[in-house]
Amino acid sequence: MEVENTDLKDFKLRPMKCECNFLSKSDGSAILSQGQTVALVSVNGPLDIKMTSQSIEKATLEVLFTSKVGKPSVADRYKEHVIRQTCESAILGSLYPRTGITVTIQELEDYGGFTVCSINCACLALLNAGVAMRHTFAGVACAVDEQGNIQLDPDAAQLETARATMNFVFDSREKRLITSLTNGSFSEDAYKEALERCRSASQLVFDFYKDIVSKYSYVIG
Amino acid sequence: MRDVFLSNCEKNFINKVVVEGHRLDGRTYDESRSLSISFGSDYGSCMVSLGETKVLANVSCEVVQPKQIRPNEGTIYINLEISPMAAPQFEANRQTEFSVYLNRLLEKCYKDSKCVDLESLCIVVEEKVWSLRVDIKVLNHDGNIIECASIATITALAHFRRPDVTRSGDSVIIHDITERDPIPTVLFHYPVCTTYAIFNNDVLLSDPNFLEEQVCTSFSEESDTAGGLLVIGVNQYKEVCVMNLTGAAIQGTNLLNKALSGAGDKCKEIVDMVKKAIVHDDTLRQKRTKINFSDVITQDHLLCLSKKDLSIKLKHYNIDDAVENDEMDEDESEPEPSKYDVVASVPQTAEIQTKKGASQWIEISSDSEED
Repeated sequence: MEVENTDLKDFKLRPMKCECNFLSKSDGSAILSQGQTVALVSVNGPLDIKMTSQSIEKATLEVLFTSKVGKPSVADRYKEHVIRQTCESAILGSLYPRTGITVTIQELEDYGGFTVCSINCACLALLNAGVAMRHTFAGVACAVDEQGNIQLDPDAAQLETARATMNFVFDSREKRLITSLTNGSFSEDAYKEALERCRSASQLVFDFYKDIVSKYSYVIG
Repeated sequence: MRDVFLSNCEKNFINKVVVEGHRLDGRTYDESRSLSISFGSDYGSCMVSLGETKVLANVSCEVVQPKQIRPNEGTIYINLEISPMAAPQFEANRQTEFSVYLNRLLEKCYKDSKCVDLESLCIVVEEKVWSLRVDIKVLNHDGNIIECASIATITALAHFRRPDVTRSGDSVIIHDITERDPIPTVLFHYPVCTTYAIFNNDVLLSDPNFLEEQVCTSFSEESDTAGGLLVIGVNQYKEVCVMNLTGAAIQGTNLLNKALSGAGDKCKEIVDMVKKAIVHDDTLRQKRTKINFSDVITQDHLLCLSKKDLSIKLKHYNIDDAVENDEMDEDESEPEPSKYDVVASVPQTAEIQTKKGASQWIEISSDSEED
């Protein structure tokens, strides 16, 4: 890894744009763009579900991921699984026993970092729906290029030349790692460095959440 | 989740209000909700909203073998999906009667009316043709999905461009979009479906919203002649492509004539709007403006936020430094080995290091004597 001076360096995330309550029929919804990547998420719940899928301990969380074009694929199911695990750690499901919460994700544009964008969007939609949560969660993506440099929030062009991509999701209270999703090969040091950088950068996303909620809620902010 | 049921109160109120010449949202009988079309970054992807009803349409293409009975024609496949995103009562990945009905109507309107020039989609006769696939996703269901979905379909089809193809001998080369300008799809005519809600067999409401749709298709106590929904698909030449009536039968031709002439005018208006939107989008693309669905996100109400300069100052985490520091810390504050700590004195071995000196065993003989 090339040695750089230890001065503070500027790291940028792509511009974020969000609209909550985008859909009128859902209990909560949000559309979020991070750069050119756009995701749309709707949340319904807690609602009445089939007896067979009810749990007496906590709410059953269902995540549906729909890609832009074509039939549903195995990759979609995998993404659903990752996002479900992430949301489940945050939602206080024990407050809504015998009910279901449905999170539906629609891909609109994918120009890199779609997983992270949909996770952030899901968090905003859950906030919008008023589902009780332990903490909010924010995802940050990064890529390791051929030289071993770590790029925060890479776009499509950077991803094409990347050796590895990493996605991290943190909770808002202690910035603990909730989800880590990596692709490609990298050294252990690179992983640690990327983790710490993303952890610091997640504060920007949490600030964004706080700003959007404090626009209409005077209690917060 | 179970279907949403209407209360008698709502039903009776809407029935009463409509007869008096009003509508719940203040529109006149033949007034539609506001239509807006926005395009995505790819060719053939668009989002259409009709009031609060929102639909996403995407056209994609692939090379397939043609059908045996039509060896020189491409194929078109239309697929409409309603996920729980549209409204909570819909279940995921399940075909309902409603979604099959909508799919069939769209198929009738676009496939059976032969509006797409399928012969132009042929590459090699009997071997290779283009297959167009239209994916329609209902994002929000606030009534009149069919009109919104049909506008989205025709917009996506008209906007779509397929990659250029050249033949050299037996092989076929598909050129990338960046390599050669893609080719637009040839459309003979532009059919658009419109919906009318029929109340009391004499009132026609154009573009009914969710509540009006529910009321006119449900039986009401006060009026014995139940209403229905009339879907008419007309192209810009005012030729009827599809007609579907659900609910009560129409008495007399008067109502139908009124609906047909109204639908013709409305479709022409919509087609003009669609064409204008596509031309506008095309000129923007010519100027190399980046068009993206992120433009859908407005900034004019309280629940919106946009942040441009998201930057953070971070230290360059030098892993080597960090490791050294850790080692230093360990050296400084290395704890005294307790009595039974396992410490290696020679590399790759472990042994129990005990404090030297006399044994500190407690004599238990005295205790036992006391007992």
